[in-house]
Amino acid sequence: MPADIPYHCQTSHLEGKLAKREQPNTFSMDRYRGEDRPSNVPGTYDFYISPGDATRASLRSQRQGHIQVQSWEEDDVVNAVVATLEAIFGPEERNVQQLINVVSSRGASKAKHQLKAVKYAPGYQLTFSLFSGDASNGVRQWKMQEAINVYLAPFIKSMSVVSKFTVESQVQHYASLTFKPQLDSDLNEHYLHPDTLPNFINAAEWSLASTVSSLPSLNFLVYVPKLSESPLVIKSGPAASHSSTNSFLIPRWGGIAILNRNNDTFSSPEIITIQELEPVMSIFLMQLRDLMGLADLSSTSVSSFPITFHKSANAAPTAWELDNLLRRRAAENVVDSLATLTSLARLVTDTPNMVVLDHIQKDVVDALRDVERSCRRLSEQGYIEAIEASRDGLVKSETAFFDPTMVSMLYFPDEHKYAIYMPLFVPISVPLLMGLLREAKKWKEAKKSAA
Amino acid sequence: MRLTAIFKCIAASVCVASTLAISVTTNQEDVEGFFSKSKSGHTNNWAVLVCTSRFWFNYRHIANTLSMYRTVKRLGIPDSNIIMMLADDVACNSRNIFPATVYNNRGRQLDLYGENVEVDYRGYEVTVENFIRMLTGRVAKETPRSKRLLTDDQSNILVYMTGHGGEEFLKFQDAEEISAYDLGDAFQQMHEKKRYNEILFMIDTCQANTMYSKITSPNIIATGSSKLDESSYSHHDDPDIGVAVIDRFTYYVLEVLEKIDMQSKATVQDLFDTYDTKLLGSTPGYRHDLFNRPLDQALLTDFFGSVQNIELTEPKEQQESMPEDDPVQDETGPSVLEPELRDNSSQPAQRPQPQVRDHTFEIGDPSQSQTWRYAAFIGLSLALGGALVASSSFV
Repeated sequence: MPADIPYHCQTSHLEGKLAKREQPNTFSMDRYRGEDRPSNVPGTYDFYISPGDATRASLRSQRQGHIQVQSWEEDDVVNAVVATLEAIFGPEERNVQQLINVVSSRGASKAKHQLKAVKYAPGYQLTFSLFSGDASNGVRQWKMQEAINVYLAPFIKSMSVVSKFTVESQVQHYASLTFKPQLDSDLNEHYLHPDTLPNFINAAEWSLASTVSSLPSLNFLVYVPKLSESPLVIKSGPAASHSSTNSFLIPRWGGIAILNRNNDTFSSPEIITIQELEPVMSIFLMQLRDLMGLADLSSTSVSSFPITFHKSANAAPTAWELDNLLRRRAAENVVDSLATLTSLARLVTDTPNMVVLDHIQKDVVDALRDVERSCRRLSEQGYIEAIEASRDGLVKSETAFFDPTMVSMLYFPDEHKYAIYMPLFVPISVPLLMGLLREAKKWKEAKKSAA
Repeated sequence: MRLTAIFKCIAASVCVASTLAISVTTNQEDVEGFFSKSKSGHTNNWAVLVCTSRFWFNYRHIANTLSMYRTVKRLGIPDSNIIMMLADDVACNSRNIFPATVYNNRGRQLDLYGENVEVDYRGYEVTVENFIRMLTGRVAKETPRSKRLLTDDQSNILVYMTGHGGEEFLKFQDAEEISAYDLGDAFQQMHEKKRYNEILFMIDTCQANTMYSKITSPNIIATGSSKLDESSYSHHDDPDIGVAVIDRFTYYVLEVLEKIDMQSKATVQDLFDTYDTKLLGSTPGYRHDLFNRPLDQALLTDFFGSVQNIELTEPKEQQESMPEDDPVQDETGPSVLEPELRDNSSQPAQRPQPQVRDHTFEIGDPSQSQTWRYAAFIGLSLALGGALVASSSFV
C-alpha cells in the first residue's frame, strides 16, 4: 500500500553563492534558470533555499520550489523546509491514508471534495450545451468549437496522462425553466434564489444525456435567458449581493453558467463570440478542475508562513497538482480494485454451486498483477506507469466482477426439488422395481425348476 | 381381505405422511438497528419501476407503474436515470377502446401513456433474470445504456414493483417467480459493489410485506401494501375500459405524492403516517430497521425526486464558496434505534407472535427439523406408488 510515498527532493544549498547576506532580497530565480533544468520527472522536485527578509515559500509550476528563510540558522532552515514539505504533501498523504483505512465510506461520511469529484474512469465525455430561453434573446449559435480549442485544449493535453476526454457541444433553443425567476424591481433584474437552483435543470425537456456513449459524462451548460427574464442573476434576496460568477456546480454531474447578454453592444448578436465565451470557459475550467478531483493546493496547505503556488498561464494543472492527482487516483484505483476482488471472492465462496469460468480467473490474476505493479511503480516514482497499471487493474477487476455468467443461482430450496421430482419418479420407479423383483423371482424359480 | 389390508396400509401411510408435513411458521425475526450519525449523502437519483403482470385484466398494474413514472419525472428524475419495465402493452391491446392511452382514473383526465414515455424493458424482456442482472450490473456486453443501472455509491434508488405476488414471491409474466431471497441477495450484491447510497423499496401486490422480509443490506427502507395472508385490492374500475384501473395502495400513495413538488420538505414518515388500513382493505407495512437515519429526516424528494446539492462557484481569489443544502458537515444528534419490523396495526410496539398454521410449508426455515419432512415426502410418494401397484395388481 502506498501509505508512505517517498519523495525525492534535491535541496541545493546555496550558501557559497550567497555569501553576501546584506543583499538577501536580490535573489531571484532567473539567475538559475539556465543552470538547473526544471525537473520533468514526476516525483522529483527541486527546492532552492536562500536567506530572505521573511520566511516564505514559492512553488513554480515546473516542480521547482524556492524557500526563503529569515534566519540562516540550521534549525530554522530545517524547520522551514519541513514545514513547507508538510504543507504541500501532508494533506495528500492524510487523504490517501483515510482512503485506505475507511473501507466502506458512505456518501455522508465523505469529505466535500470527495463528494464533488467524479469517480475515476479512463475516459470522460464532456458536453458543452447552449440553452437559449427562447428566440427573443437573439442567440442562434456560438463559437464553442474555437473556444474549446483555445481554452480547453491545454487542460485536456496535460490531463491526458490521467484520463482521455471526448468533447461535444450542442445548442438547444426554447429551453424553458420549470419555474419563473423572481423580479427585483429596484434594480430591474430577475434573480434566482440559491434554494431554487437544484431545480434549475428541466430534466424532462432538456436533452442532456447521451444514449450512445458509455463513457461517464460531464455536462457544462450555458444558459441565455429570454429577454423578458434578462438580466438573470443568482442572489438570495433583493438586498443581497449577487454571485459574481453567476454559475454553480452540481457534484459529479457538471456545471451551469448563466450568461446575460446586452444585445445593443454586439454587431451580430446571434453569434456568441469567443471573447464572450472567455469568462464562461474560465468558470467551466474551475468547475472541471473540481470535478476531476484536482486538489487546490493553495487552500489545503496550511502553514505558519505564506506559501505561494504559481498557476500555469493557461489554467492547465500545474506539475504539483498533476503529481498529486496521479498519486491519489492511483491509490484510489488500487483500493477499489482490491475491494472489488474481495467482494468477488466472498461471492464465490458464499455460493458453492456457482460456476467460475477460466477467463474470470485469468482476469483476477491479471488484476492482482497490475495492482502489485502499480504499487511498485508508485514507490519508485514512476507515477504515470503506476496510474496506467492501476487503471488496467481496475478495469480487469470490474470485468471479472460484472461478468454476465456470475449471476448467482435463483433460490430453489431443497424442498422444492424433492416436492417436484419425487412424486414424478417414485411412483414410476416403484412399479418398475416391483416388476424387476417379480422377474428376478420368476428367473430364480425357473432356474430352480430347471436345476 | 388383501385389498382392504392394502388400502388400510395406504391410508395409514398417507395420514402419517401428512401429519409429518405439518410445520409451524416461525415468527418474524427482530432485526437489530444500525447506529449512525449522518444525513443522506446522495448526489443523484435513480428509479427502477417494474410491472410484472401481463394480460388485459392486469391493466391496473401497468397503470400503477406509469403513474409512478409520471410522478418521478415530474419531480425531476430524468429518463436516463429511470428504468421502467412493463411486461405488457395495454395501450395497444386490441381490447383497449381508447387505443394508445393508459388511464389510472375513471374520469380519464390524464393520459399516462401519451407523450415522452420511455419504456426500457418491454414485453417478454421483463424476466427475473433480466431484473436481477440489471440490479447487480451483470448485464450482457451488448446491453444498451438505457437498459443498464449505472448507479454509483452516491445514488439513491427508488425500486417500485407491482403485480401478483404471494408469500415471499412475486410472479413474473405468469411463468416464473422471484423470491424474497433473490431480492435480498440482489440488494446484498449491490451493497457489496457500492452501487447505492440508499434504497426505497415499495411493492404493491398481495402479501407484499413478506417480500421485503429477507433483505439484510443496510440503508434500505421497504414498504408494502399488505401483510401475510392478505390480498391487496384495486381501487376502482372504469366501466368503459372494463377493467380496474388503479390499485388502492398506489392510489393513496399517489394522493400524497401529487401534493408535493420539488421543493417539498415532506418526509417518508409523513407518507407512512397516511397509511390507513380501513381505506386500503389491507394492512400496509414498512421496515426501516436497516436505515440509519430517522424516517422523519428522510425527505420524499430524496427518493422520488432528483434534488441535488449544488455549490455556487466563486472566483478563487475570494476563496468563498457557499455550499447549498450541503448535509455533509452537519451532524445530527444521537440516532434512533428501531428494532422491529413494523406493521401499521393498533399497537405500535407489538411483538409478532408465533402462529401455528395448518398445511403450510415454511420454505427454507432452518429451525425446523428437515428429516421429518424428507421422511414425509418419501413416505407419501411410496404410498402413492404402492397405491398404483396395488391397483394395477388388482386389475
